[in-house]
Amino acid sequence: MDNDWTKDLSKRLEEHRLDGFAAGMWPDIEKAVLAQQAAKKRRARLVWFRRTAVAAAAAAAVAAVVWLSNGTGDVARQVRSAVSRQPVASAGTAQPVANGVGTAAMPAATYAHRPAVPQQPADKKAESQSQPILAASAAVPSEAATVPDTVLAAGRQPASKPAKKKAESSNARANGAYYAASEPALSKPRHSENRWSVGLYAFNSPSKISLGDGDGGGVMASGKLQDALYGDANAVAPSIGVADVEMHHKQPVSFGATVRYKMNRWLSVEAGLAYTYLSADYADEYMSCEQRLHYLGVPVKLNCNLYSGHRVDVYVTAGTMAEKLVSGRRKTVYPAAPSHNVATDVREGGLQWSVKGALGLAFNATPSMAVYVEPGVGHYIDNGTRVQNFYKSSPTCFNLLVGIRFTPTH
Amino acid sequence: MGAPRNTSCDDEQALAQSIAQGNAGAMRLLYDRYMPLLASVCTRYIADDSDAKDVLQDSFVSIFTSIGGFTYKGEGSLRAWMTRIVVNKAINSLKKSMRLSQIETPGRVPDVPDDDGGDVEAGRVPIDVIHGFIRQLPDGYRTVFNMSVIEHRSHSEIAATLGIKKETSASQLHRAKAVLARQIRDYVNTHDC
Repeated sequence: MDNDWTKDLSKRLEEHRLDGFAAGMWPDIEKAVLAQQAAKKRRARLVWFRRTAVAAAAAAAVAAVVWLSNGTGDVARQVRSAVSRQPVASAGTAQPVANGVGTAAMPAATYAHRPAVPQQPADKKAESQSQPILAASAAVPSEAATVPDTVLAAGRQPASKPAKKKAESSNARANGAYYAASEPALSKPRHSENRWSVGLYAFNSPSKISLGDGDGGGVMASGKLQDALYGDANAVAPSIGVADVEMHHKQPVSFGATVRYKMNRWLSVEAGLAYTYLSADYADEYMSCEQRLHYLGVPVKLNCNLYSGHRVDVYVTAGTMAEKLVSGRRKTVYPAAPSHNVATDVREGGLQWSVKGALGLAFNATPSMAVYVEPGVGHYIDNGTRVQNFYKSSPTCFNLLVGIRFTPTH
Repeated sequence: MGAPRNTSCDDEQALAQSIAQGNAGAMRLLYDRYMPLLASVCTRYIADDSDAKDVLQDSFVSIFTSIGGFTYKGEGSLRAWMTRIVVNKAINSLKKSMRLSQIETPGRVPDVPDDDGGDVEAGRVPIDVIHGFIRQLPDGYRTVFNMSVIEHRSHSEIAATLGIKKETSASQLHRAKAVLARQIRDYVNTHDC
């Protein structure tokens, strides 16, 4: 009987309305909402630009360092090809390519790997012009007659000239001769012709794309539902509503490894394995709550090359990822009531799917290594579970991926 | 008169989506539709009108800025979500104002005579009057009564939320019900309902 009157009272109070109480409040509410939205958009843009600028600057710095370190060889080859088309005189097995261009004195270091070139009878003009070269080469210690790989790689001929390349390279290796005329005027790193490459990347979602900040989104669970949600029926439910509504979801941190297969000049497919760490917390004077979630996922994506240049490739990429919560933990601490402290495992059935699209910029530091950045947009598809995480608080967001790709050379 | 009781599922979901997309008209519609309900909830927890309005404003700002993360789960889910936000903001406000810090302090709790156990004809009293009786309860009684009777939380949950003992929660509820029962009987007797 006693409970009946409160039960009936509860039902009546749930439907009670207090008309007129909040008269005149709307303008202030509207103003506060607009101000908050504007501030969040500004913060999101600022964070986005900062992170993109940092990533682009880092990639450019790496590319510049590699460029400069390779530039010495480039300059030497350019000077040699521009000044002379005559081969360095060799042991007689080589046939000099005479084009009337004298050979400039080359830095000895350029020929460090080449054997000393013996003097050979030649026309006087060629001989006189080649004397500085011979003198420089003679000072080089004798080593195996192999031309440095970097030089060979830089001077690699297109596939359409295999015969000439073979003859030239065999001559070069046999007697250390270097046929400047066979080299391209500007040596440049070439994409490896290997279709397979592997990559390592780091991924972050700096900001959400939507009206709100998403903190506390999602349907709040009742006490009993909270137990079912976190799989521990015996756990003392924490301050469910407060923590779930006010929980601050930090940006996810993700790392991964991928394998890419280049189908043709334009398209490549990529798949791999990714690890994502999601954390969230809430604290006030009476309680604190921490949640740590660990996801493993399999990303799959398709890349479409838009531009392939001297050092830079530009492409677009789109794909999907399926993630699984492999480990999760939620701890709630009540300083005033330590006996109520609780730690529960967080479990989630099913997979977390997401789709992403991005613009890619790859800086080809060497023929076998590229640094790439992929600023883009991603959307996490609601999987219907009640686990509150960043994916639910910020389902659509900007993201930034930075990685290194290795393409083994043949 | 108040918000329509039977909003369709499509309405709630469409409304939430419109607001998430930045539709100002949808925001105003949500405000007009649910403010009377949420004002009732808020004032059940917070007796002071000025404090209650602050909490309501803060709640609506949170609702509008967080609705992008709201997941529609069926009819009534939007209302339940908004109600939870208001309740949590109200409880936090009470905590911050230290109004709940005296619950455990001996001697601070009003001495209430035990209820004589007679019938409580709450159905004969207008709900506005009962709402007023609840607002007049001491902060601790009122908070525990709302969380237990209206929110259906266990004493363990209430104790954990408010940082009090489970026994204190049960005691506060018992006293709150005793006070309300007496007030309801007095009203019925004096108003010949």
